[in-house]
Amino acid sequence: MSSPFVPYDPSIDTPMGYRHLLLIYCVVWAVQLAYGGYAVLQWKRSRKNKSE
Amino acid sequence: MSRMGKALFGLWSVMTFSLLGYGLFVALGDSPPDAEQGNMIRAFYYHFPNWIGAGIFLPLNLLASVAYLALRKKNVLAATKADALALATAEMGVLYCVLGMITGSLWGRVEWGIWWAWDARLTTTLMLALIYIAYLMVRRISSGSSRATICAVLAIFGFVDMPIVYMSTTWWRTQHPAPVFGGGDGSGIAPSMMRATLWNVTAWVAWGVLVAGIRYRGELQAQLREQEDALRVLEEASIEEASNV
Repeated sequence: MSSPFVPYDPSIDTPMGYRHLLLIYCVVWAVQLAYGGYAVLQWKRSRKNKSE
Repeated sequence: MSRMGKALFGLWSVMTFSLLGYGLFVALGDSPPDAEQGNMIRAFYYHFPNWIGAGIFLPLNLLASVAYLALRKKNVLAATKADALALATAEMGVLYCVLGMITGSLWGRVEWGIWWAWDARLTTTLMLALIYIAYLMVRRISSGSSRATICAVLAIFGFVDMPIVYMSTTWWRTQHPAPVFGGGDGSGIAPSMMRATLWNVTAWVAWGVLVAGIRYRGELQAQLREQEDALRVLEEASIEEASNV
């Protein structure tokens, strides 16, 4: 259940709380990195068009 | 990009990823759990920076939109730059806004027992996100010289919701806690949470600046290319017309 990265203490946390905490960190990273990738792709595409 | 620009870009990228890595370490490993919320308090370190990000990039979108309207007939290049900046900051602002709502909803399900409440703060925030999503959709589906003007006007009207979102917890009774800054008695961050909060706010704002900067360059180049193409077509048409006469 517990991942080495996200702390979980059964005496103060619930399994749902742990799952949601893990989700929060994963969603933020995934969405931000995906948008970062999109921005880089658009930039490269515009540079390619410029050099044509 | 000049050599200096490349060096700055590289330096900013390295600094941003270092900050993000350290922010993650502080948030998950180096800050204590809360007496009431347990480890769920760590959700705050990835929720709050989104609202700081939206609070920086959406006002920047407003400034860029006003600049575009002021410059469009005086300085075409500066107006194009302002329009490209408006797009980059709007996208970044929407991203932060949506992530703020998702992370808030995931936290709310655990702490409040509900995913969503139709209270003033959450409803006005949803409206803010929808207004800027509409702004981005208008940008995507429209074309021509009027696109930037329509979008700039839309951005100015859309921004009106921003102070309402901020003040909503003061003006109405809401489920949501008072603002962290300037929320009156009891607002602010506990000293034990300060370090993790500040590192993560700094890291995600630095990330926003980096990505919005990349998006701005891409959009500016695309718009300049569009303008060059339009000028070329006009020139060719005028040459053809002159040869026919």
